[in-house]
Amino acid sequence: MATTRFLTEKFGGYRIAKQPPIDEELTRVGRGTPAGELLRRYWQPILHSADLKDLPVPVRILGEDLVAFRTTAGAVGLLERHCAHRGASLEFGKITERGILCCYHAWHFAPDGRLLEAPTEAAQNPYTGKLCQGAYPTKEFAGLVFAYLGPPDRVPPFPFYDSFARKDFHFGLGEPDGNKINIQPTNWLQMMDNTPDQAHEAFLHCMHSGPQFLDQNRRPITELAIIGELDWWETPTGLACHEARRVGPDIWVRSMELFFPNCVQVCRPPVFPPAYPGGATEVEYPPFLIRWKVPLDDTHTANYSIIFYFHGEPADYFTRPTPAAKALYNDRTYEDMQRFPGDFEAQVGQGPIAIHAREHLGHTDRGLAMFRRMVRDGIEAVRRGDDPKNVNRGASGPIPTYSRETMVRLPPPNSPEADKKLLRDTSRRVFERSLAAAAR
Amino acid sequence: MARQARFLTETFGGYRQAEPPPPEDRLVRVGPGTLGGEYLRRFWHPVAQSAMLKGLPVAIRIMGEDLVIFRDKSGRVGLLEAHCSHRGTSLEFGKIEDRGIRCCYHGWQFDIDGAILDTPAEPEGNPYKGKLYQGAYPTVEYKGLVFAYMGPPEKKPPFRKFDVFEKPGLEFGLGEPVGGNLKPCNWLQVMDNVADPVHEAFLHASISGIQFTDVNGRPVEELADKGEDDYWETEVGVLCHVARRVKDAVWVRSMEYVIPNIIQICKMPLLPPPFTNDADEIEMPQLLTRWRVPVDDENTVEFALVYYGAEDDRSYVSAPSVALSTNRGGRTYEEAQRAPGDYDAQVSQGPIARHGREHLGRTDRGVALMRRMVREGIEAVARGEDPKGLFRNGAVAPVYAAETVKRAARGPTPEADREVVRSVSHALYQKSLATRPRTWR
Repeated sequence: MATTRFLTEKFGGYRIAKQPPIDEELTRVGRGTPAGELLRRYWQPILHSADLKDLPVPVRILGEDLVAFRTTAGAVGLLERHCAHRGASLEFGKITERGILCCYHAWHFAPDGRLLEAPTEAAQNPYTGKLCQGAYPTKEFAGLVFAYLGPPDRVPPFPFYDSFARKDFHFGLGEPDGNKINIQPTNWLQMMDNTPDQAHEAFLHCMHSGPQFLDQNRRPITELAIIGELDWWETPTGLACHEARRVGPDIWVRSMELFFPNCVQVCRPPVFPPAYPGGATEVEYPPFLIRWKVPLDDTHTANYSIIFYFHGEPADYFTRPTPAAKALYNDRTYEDMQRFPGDFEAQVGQGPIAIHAREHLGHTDRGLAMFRRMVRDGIEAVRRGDDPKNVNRGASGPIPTYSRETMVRLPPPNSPEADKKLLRDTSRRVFERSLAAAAR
Repeated sequence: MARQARFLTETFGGYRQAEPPPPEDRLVRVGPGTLGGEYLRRFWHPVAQSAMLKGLPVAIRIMGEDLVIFRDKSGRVGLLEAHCSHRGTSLEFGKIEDRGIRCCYHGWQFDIDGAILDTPAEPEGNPYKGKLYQGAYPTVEYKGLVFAYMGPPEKKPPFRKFDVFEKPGLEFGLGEPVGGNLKPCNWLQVMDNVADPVHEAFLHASISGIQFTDVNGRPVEELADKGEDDYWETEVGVLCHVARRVKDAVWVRSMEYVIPNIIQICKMPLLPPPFTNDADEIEMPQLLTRWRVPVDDENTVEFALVYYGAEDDRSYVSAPSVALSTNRGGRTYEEAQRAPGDYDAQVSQGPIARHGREHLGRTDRGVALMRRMVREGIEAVARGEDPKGLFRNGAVAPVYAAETVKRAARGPTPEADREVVRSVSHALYQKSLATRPRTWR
């Protein structure tokens, strides 16, 4: 009687299955779950370096309660939150030069988990020097602390993408230190779905809420409302997502990239009309940010972003946010959210865990279907004992990336059909050039 | 019926008390597909006040379903499943259109009946537009409330009107502030309250002080007499009387449980009654009709219509009686402890009252009758029949409650007087039976 299929009856609310099951395989992130084990094969950002001061910081990642701290000697530790002795939380512990002391009985743990001292115990006890508190390796990069929570014999190299190697950039962060406005009360997968669904930009970020993207001169990019031609290509790192739009005599190839499994790269949008350098008919725009969407647990996910600024540019992503950036955070009033929804509302509005069984995917959701397939393939790879996609073991040098936001001067041919083909051909040419560059 | 925990027969016997059996699921569960939920879905329920529908959609939850309600720019009310059928984004962030509402994420537009009017991101000729429907429910606006029917479309009854709604010269106001009155507990224990009129003598009089006043603002001290209670099953529910001796008159407090989740209450009389030479009986007008609508298993929202005559001021909500203000949450804990009201008595039974630890008494006959009627309704629906109280054939539903004071000489002994009091109450019931539904000229 109740259906998750196509409802073909007006006033048919009664016919809809109300509680179809969620996709457990793709959405659960705890230890031992399929997607949880996949996500544990990658370095994940867990907090800002600046947040490690003189007190330990409780963190929750992939359903695990942990505590992060920086020893007075400067080493970063990431330990299971509950002391191996009697379970008191190490967030109330005292940071030392060599690690952290539990507040309850002063058991002393090193950043790698080793029990250095157990002062309540006899000098010869079965613990000191043998027992280890659960610990995870960390790495600091660009102001973020990353952790690896997977099997110790599978630690991958840190994902040093080519955008990080550019000499003309300095790095900023996409959310303020010390607070939690970057957390969305929702599952990681529906936040990732947003990227291979570039079509949402025209609707949500422009037609619905007014233009939420600004160019570098802070002009609202009204051209985003043009509905373009969508394409997706699998890359060695993930998925390249293009939308090619006709803007007068020019073609705008919007180019985003999903870094498997839970990271995206977005480029700077163009300035209209485009300024082609010295007689050229093409101009490319550099990467603007790399953003991880890190599961805290099944129903909470945090955004952590590294923003790319040219030297001399102020790091103002958060201090002078675009409407789109503002709408990424959880500190708006409900009325503001209702009047000007952004990514936060579109994603959180799907519920704590989006129910795929009641979706009706369309033409614009092809990329999202490719992405979900990649997650399933990744889960299979981990099950088989293989490295999943984008682990880059044995990489020599920076990892090539494939997003290439581009404007091309190519006036429209005389029929809409021919123009559509020209848009798609141009889009493909831009992608193929990124492939060729990666091969070099 | 839920298994009854045994009567404890031991002093300091807390340790012996058995964990009460779980709630009777069919009575208290309200979600889609539950027995009680399917029963309730056969009736129209108020789900919002018209005043809630302004420029932005409103997210509501009714019987465990997340919905969005809005008035489109052509003035029509839409009630849709909250999650867009495309990718599940909540339509509470959508944009209200001339026809229907548009999802914020990819611009899909839904009419108020659920029809997809536009899928601008999809190519022409896609399989959705003009064929697929968002889940929708029909609505009716009536006297400032928006009612919805959430049951099987082929079983939809006509919108049920009561005879008392049609009385000439009446005007109606709302009984709650905008948004309704929320109680964090199951709907059934809120309803129990009405089939239990004897609680008024205790909770609203002797325990918390007199919480009711008459039209002149005098606290109705006579309420503290527990009186003679009686209950009769009617074709709409349970008529509940408490008859009290007041000098040379009998005051019959008359209220009604109306199937499935409605209470009907009359105004209290002036006491002693101002009889005139040519009248030794005064019938009081209706005060309100209040619906208790399940939000989910553990939350309930109240919406009421208040009856105003031409001479009445409209202060029911703005200057609430003590009884009304203590029916709302938001008081301090100390206030609630010192002078509890309906809210505290109902909510403190727990999110879902455990019938298995109750010990029903003589004054709970109405509660037992009401619960039996709910069970019978549930069983009728499970058998594929209409439950009692639907009024399909254009019939106006009668309301029997008719609060009355009547002159009656005191009996010679207390026992004899109790018989007098009860006989006045019974006679009033017989008169109500004979004169319903009311017709108005």
